Amino acid sequence: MKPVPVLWLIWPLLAVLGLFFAALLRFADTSLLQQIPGTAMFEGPRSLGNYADTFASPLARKALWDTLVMSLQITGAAIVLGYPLAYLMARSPSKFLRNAIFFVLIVTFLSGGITRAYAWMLVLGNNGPVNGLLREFGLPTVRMVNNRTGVVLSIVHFVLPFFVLTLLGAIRNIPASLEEAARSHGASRWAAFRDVTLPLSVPGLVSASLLAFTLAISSFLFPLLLGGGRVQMFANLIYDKIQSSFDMPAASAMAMIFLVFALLPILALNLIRGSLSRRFGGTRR
Amino acid sequence: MQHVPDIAAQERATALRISGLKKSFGSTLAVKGVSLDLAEGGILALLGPSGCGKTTILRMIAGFAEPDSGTIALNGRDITRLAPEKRNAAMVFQSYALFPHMTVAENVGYGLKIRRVSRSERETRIWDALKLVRLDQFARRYPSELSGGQQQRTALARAIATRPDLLLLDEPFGALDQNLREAMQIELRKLQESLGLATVIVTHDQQEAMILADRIAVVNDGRIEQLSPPAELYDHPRTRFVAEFMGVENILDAVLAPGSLTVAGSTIALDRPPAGARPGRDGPCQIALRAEAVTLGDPGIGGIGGTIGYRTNLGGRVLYEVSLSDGQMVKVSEARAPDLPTRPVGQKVSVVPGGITVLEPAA
Amino acid sequence: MSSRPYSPLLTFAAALVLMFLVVPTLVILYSSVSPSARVQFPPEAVTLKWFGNFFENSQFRDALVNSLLVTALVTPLTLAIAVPCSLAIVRRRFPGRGLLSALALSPLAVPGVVIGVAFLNFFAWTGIDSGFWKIAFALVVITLPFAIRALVATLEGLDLALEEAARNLGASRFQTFLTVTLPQLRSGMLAGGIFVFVEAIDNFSTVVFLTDMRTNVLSVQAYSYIRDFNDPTVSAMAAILILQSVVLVFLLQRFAGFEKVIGGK
Repeated sequence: MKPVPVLWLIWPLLAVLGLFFAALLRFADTSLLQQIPGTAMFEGPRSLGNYADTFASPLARKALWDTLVMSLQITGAAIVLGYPLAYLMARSPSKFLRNAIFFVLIVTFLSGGITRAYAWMLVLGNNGPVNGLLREFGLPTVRMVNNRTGVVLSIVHFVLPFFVLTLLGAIRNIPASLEEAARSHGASRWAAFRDVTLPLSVPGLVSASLLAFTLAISSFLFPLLLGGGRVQMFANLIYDKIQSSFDMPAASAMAMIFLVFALLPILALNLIRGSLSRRFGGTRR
Repeated sequence: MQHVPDIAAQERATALRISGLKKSFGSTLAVKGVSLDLAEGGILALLGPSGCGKTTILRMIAGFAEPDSGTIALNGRDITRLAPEKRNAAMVFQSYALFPHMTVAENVGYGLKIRRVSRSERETRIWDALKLVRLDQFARRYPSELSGGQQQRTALARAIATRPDLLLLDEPFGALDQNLREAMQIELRKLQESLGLATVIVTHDQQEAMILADRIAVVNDGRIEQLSPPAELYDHPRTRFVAEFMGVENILDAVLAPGSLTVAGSTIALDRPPAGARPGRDGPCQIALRAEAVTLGDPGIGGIGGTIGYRTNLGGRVLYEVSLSDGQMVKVSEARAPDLPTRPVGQKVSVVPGGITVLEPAA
Repeated sequence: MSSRPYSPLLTFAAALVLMFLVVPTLVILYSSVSPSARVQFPPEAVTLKWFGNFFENSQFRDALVNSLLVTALVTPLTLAIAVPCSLAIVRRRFPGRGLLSALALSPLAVPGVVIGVAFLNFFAWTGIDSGFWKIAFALVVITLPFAIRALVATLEGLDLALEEAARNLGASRFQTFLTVTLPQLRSGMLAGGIFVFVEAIDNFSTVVFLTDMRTNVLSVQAYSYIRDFNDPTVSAMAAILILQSVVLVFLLQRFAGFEKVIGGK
């Protein structure tokens, strides 16, 4: 009996992907057209006018720049907060501690974006516990919603479980005996980490950071709820374009630009991946 | 258990002294009070089955596990609670634990770099260590580009390059195939002797322990059952566990009396007390007999009467299984040569035991 | 403490980060049973009125029903597509295999808003007008990569010798798949299924472009409510979602094991 032909196994996936890419192609085409004023319809001739308009708009340029800067800040915060947690979880001999951290991460992760966005509105709000504590001690309250602070904090919180779980896998794949070997040859705890685990975790750190960046740059709900209209990330600008004028060609052009920026780091990673694994992964493991 | 002094230590200074070491994981006691000495330049094997606690003892010496009680002293310095990096005890790991992102030379020089040895001195010592293990051609390779034996030698070079006070080896040859293993064992022994490096090796392979160590501690269930030079351990195991672990083929029920031993109804006269016999401990006991120390004779010559139940040819030797009258079985191994006749199955024989060792009764 | 490879400072840092992760969840749970919209301590009383509000509000009720219906369709459908194609990706050698697995994961890299606008445009062009089917299809596209990733990781960890043993004992290919391969895929299907389920309930950035007057879903309804009202009804909804995720975590632990879930990167 012959095995089932591969095509039988993959045709449903091909169908879904086909429709997905058809939608993206149609979308790319739409971005070249022009809206018929006063309607939701659009027509030719095809041009790059929408792209030129987007880049000419100070609002769009600022949103794009802000989005990139905030995504980098968020990625940086995820590294600083997430690395210790992932390392502890990978190396702790206590099963209870490992399970406890994992439980917190997964529950946070699975409770979803709406839940967490609303939670941060409550925590950071003017009537929330943080300002409540400040008031209790007679300190001036701090405005943390409807500005960047709240948006960045909440996205860091959103991204952190993804980051930690990705990095965790990479650190766990580095045998603990390597650190022990370094220590038995005279390295302190810190030196063993710096010389062995840290460099060997670089490939995992890069993929986890990339994931964090991709998630951060695509954020939409958090700026919408915690930005209070004052923090425009690029995704929100596209949403506003649709909501306010239903100018599909313009929104499509903006989305295409956005897509390129979101994919750039992934392409960059693929370019440097070879040298990364040569430098940090050993040659083959 | 009692403190066992190293005989050689009477001439040489003690390098490692462990007393009353205990360690538990949760509610299970992994190491139940271990004491031993290791003389300078000596090599001691911790031998035992997996899970016996030998690796935990080694990890406590290295500083990767903290004992609940007891002390560890290295060259007279108490290191029991010292951080691993301050002990100057270099370890070779079972997995070798070579740093995959460093070349062979960088691996070997790691301990020197950490100790801030100058670059030129470092180069010399890396080179020396690599030459000792015959890897000088491979200095610039990465560990993944080496064979198993080369990786093992790199790990060894890395450990000796720092000139440690103590070398620790955790099943160092476990991942190598049989032929390579034997060659590496002899090589290690020569290296260790020429460097005069006090060494503790953990292994589950009794042959490896015999080749490498000048003293062997057999570890069972968190305790040292016997600590002896290899030959003594081989010839005169003290307990049933040690006898079985050292591959003694026959452990028989017997009755010991002054001047005689009775097995399966046959009494043999003894001109002197057998090994392990203690005055005043006559009566039922167990004895260990190696198959190669037993000879077969015709009935009536004054051994233990029995019948050959099975015979198998092992090339240079013949192995007989002899059934005794009480149902016990004795394995006998005799030299085989083309002109020597072998005995057929079913023949009545007399078993003449040699090298009898009386085992201590189980605790 | 020489036996530990990490320092007390690290433990302290990790504890702070854990607090940062947990606090919002605790505040939500607290707010869902507190009588006023203001989060204050100590609580004046404990009330379940926001839960009542949530279930009595017809918009929330309709959205909940729609979300559950969509999820009930999307979760099994996504798994049904993902299982055979993961098998093909891991077990078969065919031209374009690498490309196929890259493409299968590609929706992960596309921002949700872009997918939303693209489908909005595409469905308008093709004339598909049912909000339900638009949402369901978009969710299948978005969740497929999650399922495929979990299943590929599980499949790569399987021992082929088990299947060879089954064949050797007389089982056909199909019998082997049903009796040996599929049961071993359980943990991957559970992990993948949970991710799909949660994403299908929670997705906002794509779905917000595809809902219409007749078909609203929970996430979008919650957003509208937060925008228009200031009371903890959404806390009650969030509390339900948190409890649901606790249940899912226990399921995951019981039937797949945490360690296994982490194992698949």
